[in-house]
Amino acid sequence: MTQELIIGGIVSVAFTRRTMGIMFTSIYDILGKNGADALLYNAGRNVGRAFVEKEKEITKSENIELLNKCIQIDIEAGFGKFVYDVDFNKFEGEVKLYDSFLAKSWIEFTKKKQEYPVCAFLAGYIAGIIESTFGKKVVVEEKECIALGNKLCLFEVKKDVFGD
Amino acid sequence: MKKELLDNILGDLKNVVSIEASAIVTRSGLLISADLPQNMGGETFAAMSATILGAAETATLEMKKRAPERVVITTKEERIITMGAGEKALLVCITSDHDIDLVLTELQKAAEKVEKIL
Repeated sequence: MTQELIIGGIVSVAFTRRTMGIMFTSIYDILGKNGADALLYNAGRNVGRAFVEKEKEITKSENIELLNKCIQIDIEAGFGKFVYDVDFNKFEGEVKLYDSFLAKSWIEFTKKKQEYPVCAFLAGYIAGIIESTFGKKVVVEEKECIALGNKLCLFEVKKDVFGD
Repeated sequence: MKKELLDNILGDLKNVVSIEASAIVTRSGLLISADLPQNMGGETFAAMSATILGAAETATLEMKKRAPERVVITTKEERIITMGAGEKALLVCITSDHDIDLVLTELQKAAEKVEKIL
């Protein structure tokens, strides 16, 4: 019997950054930037939604308390440190991400700065987290990225016009 | 305002050719405007359209050819047509109209209008 990795009370798996870098750059190689962004944003959003739903069930928490629990687990899981500066009445604002595992994986594998932001999966993930925590659809776009040479990854959050 | 103009483009398209579903989507797969049946998931439709066009563009680039003008998926009953609408967006529709030349002409006109607005 192999030993299981438990993160936040949930059975998990671990990949090296290099492996993540290979996986994600391969997707971009085949689908191109736009195609890969579309696929990964959608995947990230579904992951974010499912994560919050599971946390709701486990912790019985909601709104900001639930969001904070998710942020803490993201740190433990090595996703990076998310800082939400979002007005949750207007559903506008930005999210800072320190030490994005994705951007660092790209750099680890490619050994160079990228020409475009590479965290579409995490943009979708943030959208899914906000949607399932607060019940409002948002659109999230990465404006700055560690892979571009920025100090952190910065995501803009806007209300989704299809959210109502 | 822009959204209204884009909604009108899809409405006008439906008046000229037989369209079952249509959408204007960002190149990275987010819905901008849509006229979809209730049973169709807009988010997935948008992401799939952008992914299909992205893959087609990579394929032609890899073969040292020009970017594709459109991607057409043909089933027994319908065609799903995805077409670039400028650098920022793409236009996708599902049609069972037999006059494919007319559909493509009207789609091209609509795509040009979308590009001007965005």
